[in-house]
Parts: sequence; structure tokens; C-alpha cells
Amino acid sequence: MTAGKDGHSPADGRQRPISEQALEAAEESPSLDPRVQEQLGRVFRSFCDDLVQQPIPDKLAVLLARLEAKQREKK
Amino acid sequence: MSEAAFTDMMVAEMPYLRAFALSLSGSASVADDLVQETLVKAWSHADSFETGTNFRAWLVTILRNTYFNQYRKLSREVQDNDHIHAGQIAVGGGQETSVAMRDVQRAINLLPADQREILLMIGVTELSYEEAAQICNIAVGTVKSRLNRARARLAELLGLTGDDSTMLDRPGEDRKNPSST
Repeated sequence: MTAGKDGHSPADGRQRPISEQALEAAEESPSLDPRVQEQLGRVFRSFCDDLVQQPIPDKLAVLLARLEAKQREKK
Repeated sequence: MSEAAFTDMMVAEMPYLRAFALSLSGSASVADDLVQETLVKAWSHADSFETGTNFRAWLVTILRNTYFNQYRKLSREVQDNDHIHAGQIAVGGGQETSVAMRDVQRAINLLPADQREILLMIGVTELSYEEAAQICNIAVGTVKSRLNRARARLAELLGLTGDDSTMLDRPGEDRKNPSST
């Protein structure tokens, strides 16, 4: 575990407005090495693409057709 | 909108909806239940969809709320047996990516739920920061900070160092590196 590598310790004692935005601004600062970020981007992109390309189970297509038919009957 | 048009839209969004459900729950069986329930709810609330707004975001909202209301506890239990999911999602990707897929899903399972949902809304369903913020009822800045924390944690869990030799692709089959001769 590599905790604490970001140096955003709030221990400087200065009074800060504790607004959500201020806390976020501190957390938003880039913490990843650009090369790691690039590598993660590739790995994650390929993960997402593979996931979206998964075949849709037949039961979902069947359910959709049933729902549409049911809706038609109502009218 | 006609019934057929509504169905067509749902069919078009199905891959994204199911991908989101799979990665959010970490379980193929939970994902399919989740998508089924989402489809039923979408039909019964079809009137509440405003034409011209993002249909995918609307469906993701329904699925996400369903998950957090009903399936979260259940899916946590299922996740412990993550081989189920890994076996399922490896099918479409081919052997080369199956290892990476499994590892990435495992790492995603370990993220806090609030970071995981943001990461997946942006990455898998390709919603905008604004849409994700609206769905989760949080500020856009919070979306960004959760996304950054999710990415940092993911890189850490996957042991990424920026060095391509640590890539999850099998190192012996690195076709993408022309300088390896």
C-alpha cells in the first residue's frame, strides 16, 4: 500500500472555508504519473470496449419484445 | 413516441446498459437481473422520459437506483466468487485479453461504490461529467475528484508503473512494440 504519497495534509493549521468545492479542488490535483495514466487509459479502455461488445443474452431480447407487446395491448 | 421506436432505442442502448451492470455488480447473474428490472421499469415509466434528453443517461439512472436500492448487498456476496464473472466476460474478448479483463474487474470490485459507479458511468457508458453528476446528485467537481481517486486506486491495484513491460497483456506476445527486435 502506498498511502500518503499525495502531500495534501490539512495539518497546516490555517483556517479554510470548508466548502465542498475547496475540498474537491485539493483532491482533483493530478496524482498519477502521466505514463501510468496513459497505461491505465489503455487498459481501462480495452476493458470497457470488451464489455460493451459482449453478446446480449437472448432472454433480454425476448423480454423486450414481450414488454413492447404488452404495452401495445394496453392501448 | 411509438412502442416500436422506444424498443429500438432500448435495443441500441442494451450493450452499454449491460456492460454497466456487469462491471458495477461484478456478477453476470446480478447484471442480467438488473438489466431485466431496468427494462421493465423503463417501460412502465416511459412517459417520464423527456424526448431530446439522453436516453442512455435515463436508463443508467434507473439501473443505478435499482442496484443501490436492492442489489448492492447481494452483489457483494456474489463478488466473492469472482470467477463466475471473469469466466463470462472473457468470452467475447478472446483469450488474449481475458487475463487483463479479469484483473481489471477484480480491481474495480475493490473500489468504493461511490468511486466505482462514477468510473463506470464515464468509462463504460460514456456519459458526461454533468450527466454523472446529475444522476448521483452531486457536484461536477465531486465527479472529477471521485474519478481521479478511482483511477489512482485502480492503477495501484493493477500494479501499473508506466513501464510497458508490466502491462497485463502477456509479455511474450507483445505485438504492439516494434522496437523489440
